[in-house]
Amino acid sequence: MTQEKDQEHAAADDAASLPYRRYAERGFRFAHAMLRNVDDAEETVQEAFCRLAAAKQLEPPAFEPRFFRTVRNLAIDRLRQRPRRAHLPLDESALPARAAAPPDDAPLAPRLRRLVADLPAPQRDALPLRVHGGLAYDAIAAALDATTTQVRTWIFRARRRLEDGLRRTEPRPERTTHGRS
Amino acid sequence: MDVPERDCAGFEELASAALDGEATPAEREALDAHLVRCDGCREEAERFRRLDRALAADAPAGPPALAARVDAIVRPAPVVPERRRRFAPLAAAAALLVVAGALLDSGDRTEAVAGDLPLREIAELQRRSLDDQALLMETMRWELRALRLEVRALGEPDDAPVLERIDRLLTHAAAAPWPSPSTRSRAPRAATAPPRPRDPIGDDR
Repeated sequence: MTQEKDQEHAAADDAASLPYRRYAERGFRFAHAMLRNVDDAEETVQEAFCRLAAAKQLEPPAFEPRFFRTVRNLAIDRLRQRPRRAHLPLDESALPARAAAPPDDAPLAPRLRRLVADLPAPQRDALPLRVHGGLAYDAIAAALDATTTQVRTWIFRARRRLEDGLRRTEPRPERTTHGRS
Repeated sequence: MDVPERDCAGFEELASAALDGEATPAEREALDAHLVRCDGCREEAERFRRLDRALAADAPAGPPALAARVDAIVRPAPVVPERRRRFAPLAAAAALLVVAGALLDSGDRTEAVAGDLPLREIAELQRRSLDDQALLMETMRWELRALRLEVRALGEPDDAPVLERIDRLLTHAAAAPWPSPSTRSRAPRAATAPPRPRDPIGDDR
């Protein structure tokens, strides 16, 4: 009987913490898009949870924008600290299995990262919140203290700018000397 | 809902919103109608889609340990129901009663282990056993006083019989024939020992 109750409690705990695990996963992807480092992203997400738990702000539905805003602010703090660091580890080898990408997207990654980093601030925040965080526009608006219309425009402009950038930086096919006399 | 007339730039923004599921049904309908006849906007919508795929593919999955750490943070500590909290002192009182009963019934435990030991060792064992029991009784008296304070602090009218019972136990413990260890065979050492601290719980009576 006690064992059954324990199992019920464990199941209830699992069900209660499942949404937070999903937030953690999405928050991690968003933090990684900003920080480009697995350890930093993981610590940022963990710290965000700790802070919100300490402030007793874990209740939905306000949790989502609050969590992503906290992750963003903590990631910005980390980015500001970086120039003072003596060593910045390269992150690529430490990455866990990546989501399957179409083969023709692979060469895009380094160029995309540079282009995302060059986006103006609101666009640079809004697009990853949508793509990596999976937030709806109203949640992004709440996280960034903006309106939904602004978010819609920022995301469109970010996509447009990235598209233009990709076209501009597209590697040109090597020129051959065939046909020269 | 009326959808305003748009040029291609307007439809491109709409295509971006539709990709995120943020277009209204009317906007979605207008967009679909436009995409049928506009190759440029259709290609742009497809490029947005590919761009999002490329961005998403560039993000690693979260480390498995993160989920466990998040669980540890967000799972609340088990909450003791108010009723259980209220009865905690009573449970402690019951436990004390059991211990006291066992102690009072135990008699002179040294008899059981004495066997063929020399008389002097038996006497020493007996003395130590009595010292232990006296110390235990003293500890119990303190515990009972603390318990009475705790029950009184709860201020529940139902607890009056419990208070009575604790008082009876205290009277019984005070009348128990256990001499204080400091007044027994260790008397010479007790004379040089520092004075015992006041009993803060007892002072509150």
